[in-house]
Amino acid sequence: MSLLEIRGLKVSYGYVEALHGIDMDIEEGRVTALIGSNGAGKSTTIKAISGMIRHSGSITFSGKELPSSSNKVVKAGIIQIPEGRRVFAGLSVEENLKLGAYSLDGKTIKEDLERQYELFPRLRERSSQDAGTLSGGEQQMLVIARGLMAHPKILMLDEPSLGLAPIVVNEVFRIIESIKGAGTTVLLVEQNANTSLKISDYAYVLENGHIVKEGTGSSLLSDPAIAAAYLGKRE
Amino acid sequence: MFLQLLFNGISLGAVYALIAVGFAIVFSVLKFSNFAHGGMISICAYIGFFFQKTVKPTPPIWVTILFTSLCGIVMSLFLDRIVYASIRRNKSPKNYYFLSSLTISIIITAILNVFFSKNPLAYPMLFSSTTFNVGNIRISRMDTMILIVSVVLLVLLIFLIDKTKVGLAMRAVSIDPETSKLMGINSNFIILMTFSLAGILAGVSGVLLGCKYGVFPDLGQSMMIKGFIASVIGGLGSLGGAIAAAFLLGIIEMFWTYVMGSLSTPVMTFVVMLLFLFIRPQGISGRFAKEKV
Repeated sequence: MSLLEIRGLKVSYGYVEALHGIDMDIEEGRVTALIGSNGAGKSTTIKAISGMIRHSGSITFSGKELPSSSNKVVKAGIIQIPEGRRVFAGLSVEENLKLGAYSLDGKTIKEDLERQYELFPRLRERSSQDAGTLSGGEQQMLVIARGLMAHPKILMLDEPSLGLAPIVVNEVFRIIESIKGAGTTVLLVEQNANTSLKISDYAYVLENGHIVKEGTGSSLLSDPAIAAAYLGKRE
Repeated sequence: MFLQLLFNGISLGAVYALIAVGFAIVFSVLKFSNFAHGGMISICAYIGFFFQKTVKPTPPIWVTILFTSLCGIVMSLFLDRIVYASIRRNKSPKNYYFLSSLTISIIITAILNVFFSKNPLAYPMLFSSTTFNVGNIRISRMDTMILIVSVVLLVLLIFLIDKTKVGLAMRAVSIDPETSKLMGINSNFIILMTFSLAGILAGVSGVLLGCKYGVFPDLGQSMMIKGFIASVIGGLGSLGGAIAAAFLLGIIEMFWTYVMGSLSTPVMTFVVMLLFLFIRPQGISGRFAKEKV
């Protein structure tokens, strides 16, 4: 049994169905990638799991039906790191991190902060600074650190490399690997198919609301059709 | 005389601050100006008045304030339940909040008019002597009591918002409600919390204003305008800005009334607001400049 089982997941925006019943399995301790082009339904999938939008179909977490309200999903340990570096501008870096631990009882907050500051030394330097004044890369580090503050069982990252300089993108992927190394299950949603397939154990390809292909990261990397469609290579 | 006026101005500003914060706190979380706050203040003034008058033996003023705040919470939550909750659920435009809150305030005032007429009712005397002297300044006991109660409440509120987990969550929701959900913050809980705080503020300011000016149906609405102006000058949604602006307004009003007489005071308050909107439309704090109703 996998940690998170998604069966027949459907999401509609008004009369338009964005996801037409997808099945996914997310295995414990692995990096699972969900790749696809713009508008394929990747973010919709993540939002449905988070309880941010209504869905039909079943999502089971450790064998139990996942609650549908977002605060209970977070409490269960499924943490979404949203697209577009949504830091709380106007709050300090440290306050942003503390919000990440909102769902916990607060007993471990000192050690947790310390751990994130060790992982992201730049955040320690800027702990009392307004989070809105950080650079794009620093903001991305902050939202990842904020997500880790919640002791996630599954960390879902939505387009973490979007709009970042290449050197920062590499840093982000290095961090994702270290998160996996620490035993956390990761669901990675990315347009950057090449790099995400390299670091993922298993991947799904989403097209127009359907899963069109799945397999191990390396098998998809060597698939000529995938290469043509997503990796910018010719057959 | 200068110190005397300054003290009276600060004491007046403290009450304006309570009203302005009641306004600003709802605005910062829900992004609409809750004009029903004025009606709430009027009801609370009446509740406090009758509680103080009918309960025997006559309770000390802090018991009345406490009781009225509890009533304020209950009414505030009730109002949210019957009016605002459905607007939220239907995701209706912000204008709906504006219109319904204004309507509620008018309804409340009209109902109070029907039952109690427009004649002011005077609170029972709280103090045996009304003033005391510090050096050559004569200080009103009433104003001192109002100042102390207001400042204590404001300090508690700022502590709650700046230093506690719930306060941090409230600030997060005011900045970005969607991302707050991803932190596991239950937005419904935060909204209830916000209306409860607004209810407490309405309760306390109702009793204090009732003590100072007497109790009449328009009390809340007329005072609410001052609080609203203060929260606009302060930068809608900013608590610190609203408090600073309220004290400023109170002090200016006292000096103006002394020099120019009380007839032109309402003109002055609006002129100050207009000046601020021209010179510094983002308010003292400079945040939340764009969304004003």
